[in-house]
Amino acid sequence: MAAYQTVTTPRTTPTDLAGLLLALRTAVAPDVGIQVLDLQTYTLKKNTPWTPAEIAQAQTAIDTAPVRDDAALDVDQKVLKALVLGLWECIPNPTLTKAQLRARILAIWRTL
Amino acid sequence: MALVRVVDVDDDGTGTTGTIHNNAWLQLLNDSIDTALAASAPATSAPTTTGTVTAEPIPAGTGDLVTYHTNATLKTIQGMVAGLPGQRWTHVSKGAGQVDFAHLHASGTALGKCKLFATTGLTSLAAGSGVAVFQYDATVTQWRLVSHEQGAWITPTFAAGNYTANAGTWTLAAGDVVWNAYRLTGRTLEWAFRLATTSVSNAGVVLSAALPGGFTAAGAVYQQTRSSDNGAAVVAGFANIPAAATAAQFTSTLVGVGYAISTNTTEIAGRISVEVQ
Repeated sequence: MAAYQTVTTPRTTPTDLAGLLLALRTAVAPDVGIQVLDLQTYTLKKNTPWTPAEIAQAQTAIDTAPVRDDAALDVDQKVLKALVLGLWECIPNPTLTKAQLRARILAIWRTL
Repeated sequence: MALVRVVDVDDDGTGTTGTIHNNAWLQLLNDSIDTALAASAPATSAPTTTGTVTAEPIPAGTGDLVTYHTNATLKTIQGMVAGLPGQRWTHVSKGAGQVDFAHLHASGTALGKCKLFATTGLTSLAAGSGVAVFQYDATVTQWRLVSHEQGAWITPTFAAGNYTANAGTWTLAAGDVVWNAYRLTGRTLEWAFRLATTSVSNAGVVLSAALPGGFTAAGAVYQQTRSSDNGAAVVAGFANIPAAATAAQFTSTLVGVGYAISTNTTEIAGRISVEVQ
């Protein structure tokens, strides 16, 4: 049975949704889903009733989630990631790890 | 309605022949005009009937007709009592319940079926704000819709069966429908929706949602959506409504990639404009 819980947050910055989802699934339950209604209102869903402790954990997760990084969103588009990782695999002895490569691309992206 | 004609011979001045044009004569003329005006004044009714109606009762009158529907819950009109040739009948939703009209419904009275712009689905008056005007066509004994304003957008009742996948299941609970509303204008259906925290059981699937209001599309439509596949970043998705379809088909990207398996993390939102039959 689906159970919904609306959480309002005082923060006025958009959250990194992928990170928030991971945090909620770790802290609350592995089936949590997110509906962002507006900048400060989130409706959360899971398939079991919400306990007060879970609501508090969700509140903390939303209040403290990292701010959405628009550059990261651009760089992490599936097609771009696939291209970059495909190219990386073509390099015989890469001097950067995949994570370092992503960080470097992100840095370049921000200068564009 | 014509005035009552009486022979009028002008008095010759003696006061003994013809019609004396005095106050009594003037009042007689005025009464005749009053009677004619009263007969052509709009006749009104305010039924509270709910449920299915196969022969909507007609207000008594030979002029224009106005019915203020004050139904508290849904009322579906499949037919209306016959009118006079060319007579106009305005239907105003004034109650808390929606008013629906069905096109040439088999159960509607043979002398007054409703001929609507859209021949599929139901043409609705949103509760308390919709208006429709019909004119009686005595040749075919039908009430023809000549003007329709739905009023507010209408949110259909949630039905989990309206959401399917081409393999496995697309599971929605009522709370996953953040919004879902439509407005019919002529044969154009405007549909706005946001379906979030939904679940998909199989990988690479095309998801389908029934068109609201029970309509069938006329021609094919392609439209962009806002799509998040299994919690991934929001991208442009794709909606396809084939000709004669009763549902929209969704893929997770503009190039037609299917949706991944998910638990409460698939979201689709969009606004679709489609011609309906």
